[in-house]
Amino acid sequence: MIEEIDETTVGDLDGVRVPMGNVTTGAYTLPDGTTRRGDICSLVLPDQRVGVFVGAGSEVVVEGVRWRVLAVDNPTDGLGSVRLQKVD
Amino acid sequence: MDQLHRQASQGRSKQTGGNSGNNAPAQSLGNSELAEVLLEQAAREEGVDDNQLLFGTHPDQFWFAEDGDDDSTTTTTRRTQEEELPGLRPKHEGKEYEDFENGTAFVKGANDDHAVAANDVKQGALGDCYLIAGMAAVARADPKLIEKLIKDNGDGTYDVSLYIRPHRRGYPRRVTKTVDSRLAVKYSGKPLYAGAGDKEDGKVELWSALIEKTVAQHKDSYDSISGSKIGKDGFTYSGTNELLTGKIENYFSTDNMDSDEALLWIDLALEEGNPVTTSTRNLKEDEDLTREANAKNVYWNHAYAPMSVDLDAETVDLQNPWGSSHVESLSGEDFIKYYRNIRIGG
Repeated sequence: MIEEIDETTVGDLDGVRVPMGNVTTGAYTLPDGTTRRGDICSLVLPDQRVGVFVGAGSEVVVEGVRWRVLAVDNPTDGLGSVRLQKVD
Repeated sequence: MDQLHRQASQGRSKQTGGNSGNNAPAQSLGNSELAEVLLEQAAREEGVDDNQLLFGTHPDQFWFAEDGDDDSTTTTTRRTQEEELPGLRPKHEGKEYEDFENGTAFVKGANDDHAVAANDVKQGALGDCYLIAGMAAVARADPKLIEKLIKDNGDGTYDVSLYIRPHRRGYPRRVTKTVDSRLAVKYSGKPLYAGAGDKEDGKVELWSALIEKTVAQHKDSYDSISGSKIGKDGFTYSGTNELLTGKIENYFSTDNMDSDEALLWIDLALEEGNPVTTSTRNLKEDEDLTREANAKNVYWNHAYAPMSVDLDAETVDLQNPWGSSHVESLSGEDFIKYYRNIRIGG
């Protein structure tokens, strides 16, 4: 299952509402602990007060289900987006 | 005038109480003789002959509504809107519309003072934060303004009114469209765009979704109301306050304000019951500032509805149209740093 969430809108990850904040460029952490730099976005996960910044290769857990970030789109004009794939 | 609920002598089973079919509700009767006369009259009107009246029926076979009974036996045929449903966003092609048969325009939440409440709104997978925040602002200012926009026709359709200018220099006019309760849904069955509000006794609140759908209806698609597209293709958009109330919206840039002034404007608007919204700047290029702002739930290119101002603490609370991630106790200094305008309705 692949889902896409647009900047400043609320997406749906297998029935769970997940808003995406902003897209920018910066550093983020991969599951193996290494740090990478690139296009990033903030995802506001359930039960978290503020968003977590993720980039391609990041993984987040949404109500017990793992999702992998496939890509973060950061256009020069207009709103960005993030694509995630359900892992579990 | 109510008609008697009659069990035909053609063999329909009798029932005591409840819905026994597609007939009108029974009339409350307190006099058995009068009941017999009325039953005969009703039977004759339905074409029952004298033999059937004499031998086929008896008042005991009929159900009489007692005084005070709530007779909800009438079933109403559900209608669908005549206009074609608005198109979905291109990336949502293939998603389906579902009829929210258990939907109703307004439901009073357990902790709400009124059926229409600012916290009813929930933005979905559409970049119409300006509209959702605007709906919250109007609901906060005066719930009746929202109530006046929607008439439930009782058959699955709603007459929804908006105030639209025929052209940029014209005055906003009330324009009504009839929309039904079909909404685009995700795989989960929940609304794809503006979400449902309160839920009570099996009913779900749809007012914000209906207004959003009506705006999309005016422009033939949801995609065409995303972000700045709202004001394109011949549709004159002059602010959500005006769209929902017909009153002209006043726009103030925060570039020429200090923090005290900005908070005073917001506080005054809230005190006087005027809808007020605000939008953030676009500073995505600045990674540090983006992280700083996002950590306070302030997101660029996004609209918010101020909830309250603490003039002593010099802070403001703002409602995020997502329905979560609200901004709490933001300092006045940060407000004018992050937010580019204040829009106040009349």
